[in-house]
Amino acid sequence: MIRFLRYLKFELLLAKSALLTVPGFSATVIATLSVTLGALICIFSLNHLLLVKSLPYPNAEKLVVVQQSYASEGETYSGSQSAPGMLLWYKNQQVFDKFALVFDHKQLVADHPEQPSALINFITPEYFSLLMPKMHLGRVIDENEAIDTHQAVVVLSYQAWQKWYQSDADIIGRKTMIGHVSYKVIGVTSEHFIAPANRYNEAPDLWLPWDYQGMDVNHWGIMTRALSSIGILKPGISPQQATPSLGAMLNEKYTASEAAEGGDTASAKILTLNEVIVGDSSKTVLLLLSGVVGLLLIAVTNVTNLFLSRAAQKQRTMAIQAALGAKPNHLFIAMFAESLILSVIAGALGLLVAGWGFVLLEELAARQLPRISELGLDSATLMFTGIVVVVLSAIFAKLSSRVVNYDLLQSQLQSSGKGSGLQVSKRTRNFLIAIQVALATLLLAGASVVIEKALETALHPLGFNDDDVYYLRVDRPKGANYSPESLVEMNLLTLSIKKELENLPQVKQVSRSIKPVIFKGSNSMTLDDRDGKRVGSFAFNMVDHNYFDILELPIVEGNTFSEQKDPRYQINEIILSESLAHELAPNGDAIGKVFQLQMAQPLKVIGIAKDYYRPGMKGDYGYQRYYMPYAAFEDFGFDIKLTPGAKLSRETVLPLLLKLNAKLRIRTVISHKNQHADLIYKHKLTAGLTIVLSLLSLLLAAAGIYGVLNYSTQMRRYELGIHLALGAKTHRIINMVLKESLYPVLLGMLISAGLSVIIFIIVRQQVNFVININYIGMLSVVPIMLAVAYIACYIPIRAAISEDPIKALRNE
Amino acid sequence: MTHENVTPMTATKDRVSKKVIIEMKNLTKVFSTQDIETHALRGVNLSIYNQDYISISGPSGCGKSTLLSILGLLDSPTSGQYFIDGQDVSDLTINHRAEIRNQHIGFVFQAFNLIDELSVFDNVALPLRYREPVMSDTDIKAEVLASLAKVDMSHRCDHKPNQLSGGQQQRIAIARALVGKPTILLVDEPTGNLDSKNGDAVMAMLVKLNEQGMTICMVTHDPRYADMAMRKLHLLDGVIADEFTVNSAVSIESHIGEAK
Repeated sequence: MIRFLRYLKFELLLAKSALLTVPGFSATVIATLSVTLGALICIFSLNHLLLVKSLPYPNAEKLVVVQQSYASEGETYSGSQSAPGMLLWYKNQQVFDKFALVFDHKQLVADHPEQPSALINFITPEYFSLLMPKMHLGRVIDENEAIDTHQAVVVLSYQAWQKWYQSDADIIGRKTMIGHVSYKVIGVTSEHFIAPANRYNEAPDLWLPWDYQGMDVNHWGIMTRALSSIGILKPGISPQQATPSLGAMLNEKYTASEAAEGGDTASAKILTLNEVIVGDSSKTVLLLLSGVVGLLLIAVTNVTNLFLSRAAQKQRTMAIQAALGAKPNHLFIAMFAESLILSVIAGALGLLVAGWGFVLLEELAARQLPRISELGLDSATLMFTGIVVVVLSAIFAKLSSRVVNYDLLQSQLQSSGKGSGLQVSKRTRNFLIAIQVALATLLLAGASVVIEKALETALHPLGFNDDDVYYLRVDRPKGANYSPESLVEMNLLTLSIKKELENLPQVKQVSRSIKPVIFKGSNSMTLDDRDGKRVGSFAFNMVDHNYFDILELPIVEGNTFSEQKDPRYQINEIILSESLAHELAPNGDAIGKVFQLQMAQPLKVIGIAKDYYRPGMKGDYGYQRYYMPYAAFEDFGFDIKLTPGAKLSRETVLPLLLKLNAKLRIRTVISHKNQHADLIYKHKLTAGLTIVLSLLSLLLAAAGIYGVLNYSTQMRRYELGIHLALGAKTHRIINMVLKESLYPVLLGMLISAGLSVIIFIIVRQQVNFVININYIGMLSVVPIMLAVAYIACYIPIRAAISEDPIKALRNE
Repeated sequence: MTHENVTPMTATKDRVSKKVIIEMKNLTKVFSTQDIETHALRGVNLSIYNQDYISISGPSGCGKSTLLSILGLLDSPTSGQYFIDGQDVSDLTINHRAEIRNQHIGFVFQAFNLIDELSVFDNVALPLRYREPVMSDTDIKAEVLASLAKVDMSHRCDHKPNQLSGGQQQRIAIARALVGKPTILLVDEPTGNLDSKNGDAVMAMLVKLNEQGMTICMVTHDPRYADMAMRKLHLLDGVIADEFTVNSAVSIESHIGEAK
């Protein structure tokens, strides 16, 4: 071992000098490996985090979650939980050592100037005794704030404390208004405490005692996914033992409740907290891992080719070493030293790329994948990187030293230079090129589809004018209900708000609307025909008469609504989008038709509005929508057209609202442009990333083809020297070699075409929607790939024939 | 100087008392392709004695390079026996052959075959890096400096080969061949890439080394340099067609000195 290390040390010095003389080779290997290793390290870390690494809590492996399942008419429903069921377990269970209830809900931090929306965890005290967070300040919610004590206290997360409370060191004991209640701050969790996220992978900002969750905890029919539990079973009790007793307890009370019908049953299921948090993400991350392993295989193939070429270049040096007594393993170590230096540099750069990947993942997938905020370069990641670097170095060294024929090395030392025997067969070289071209073409063809779809969404015109238009969303005041009197009162309030907003100097027009014109997610409501027969469920909005003016969305037929001045108006008009009008009245006679909402009052079609595009919505359905006159059914919304270049902020709007009603809270103020930018951000990012990956694939393919052909050309130097010596013009030689080299390139393209068809057939069988392929986009890959292959072929040939023929003949 | 002035001078050497260090018995080498068999060596019998200075000459294709490659264990014979210091080396493993090359054989090539990326010091040290048991860095340094001193190149330790003239590079190659204290020096056309002045200097160095006790076997086309050896082998069609032994020692240095 000492001998190996001593020799390696010497070879590393030699390799360092040697690699400086071949900067193109070194840079290509490092670039190829660093990007690929970066992706691999990033996705490995993600897999390790979700599949191997324990949750960051004491006794993490023992933490469990108990869930309710309900069966009715042969169907089983799980996920949503009833509060009475949870409280039943909380108060009566005998199997848990500790059992905590958690309800997550968003509320506004009302005494903050911007009234930010905070994710609250309403918890019982066991929550903190199970997770045992370190505290930055103060204490956790404990038995003093147990259920039914109604102690209005709050624990802040470190991030919320920084973000909304200016890192106030004297925060403990102070009051803060969350929603409509004032709470005393009793603690701030440590910066490093990572609380279990909710079903949207959002971490809580604040913790409040369970008593303030505001649900109807007595009605078995009200179920929500926002409700969950965390517990730790008593010693000696397994989940299998605990489940029947919990299920029986739940079933007994549920079947006796007013919500259950005959034959309905309820049962319990115990999962580990880790299983609940990871959920289906394990499949996603394993898929990602298989993807990057595939990318690594392509990169390894390419880099191996480069090392084969390098081995050909190094034959003279190796021959000298062999003549002086170097054994085959010495030559392996010599190659290993070079590959180790390059792999270590690539590994270090790969760690940087991975660090960037963590940020990107957090940006892109924080809502899709759990525990993303925990991603980082830990010891497991560093160890993995080290192992991969050494293994890759050994693979490159082994494969490239294997093609060096030790017995033939002596021919390299003969001054007469009789050429060197081809040590990788032509068939093998053609195979390597064809496979690389096939994989790269396939990857590029797939990428072209992704890029096209992403750009189509990102660049699609909206169909309305979003310049200088803002959307203001205001929470309904506490105490408002849905009685006719309350509704009239709320309508009046919205009209007052509208008037106040219109008085602002920068405001040109205001329309009320219950939803923004474009937003993440969807809202739809069933529409029936005059006879009460359902015609479909479509997106809808409730808007004022000037809504279409503000958005410059033309009414192509009929009229807009009449202006609402009396808050006691009846909703009896409807406007359809062009697509919906075409769907419901293909003959073009939509105007005057009557529809209704779930057998409510009839709605007469008075106008048809031009379609507009909502990013992310697919097919005709995305364009089909209807509009009704505004009513304050949900939170209040306002589309506000400003003077050109003007801005609208919470600070401007809030005083107006508070003047009208002290209970009003702003949920959002956002320009439509920003809303649109948010919606298409992921698509633009996807397009950008795919373009980068495509360029990387092209680079990898070019490097791979260059590697093989460079090796091939090195092997043919003597032959090319003879051609030149005999008077062959360089262009003839270039044509000759290019023709031979392009054969495997074309073969690779044919293979990729075959693979594309197979993949298309398989995917079409697996998914239930129509796959639209843009063949022009896919075919555009062919000339790109040909051009890249041509350049990769041309460079080594050019280098080989640009020197004096005698050098090739003398094997110098 | 001109080569016409270089002539052998005589001095008696008692070969009977010398030890045989290399012995080849009926050695053949056949290069085969699918259709053709080329007989490069056809039964070579050769004994090389300690402190011999042998030149091998002959027309192109006569088997000189093949014989030198087999002598240096860079290639294996097709048949026959080959002994170095009494040990049969005709059928050794690759690793064993490498060990013997490292310990018993020093090579000097026409094209010098120095490694461009290494300094002069590291080039000369290279055989010692492969030496088993492992030598300490201190010992390696001492041996390298001593070897460079023999060829008067100590002052070029830190240079790279491409910073040296052809003659200097060949002297470095000789230092590298000597550093492992080999049993025999195999020299392949040592002056082929040099001008006459540097060629003569290298030849003078080889003669001096022989006088100091080094056994040398040299392939050369140049009859004047071949004449400097005490044993001249003439190879023709893969067999030793003629052997001429000079009974006297050679005083080349003085001869070259006169020519200058």
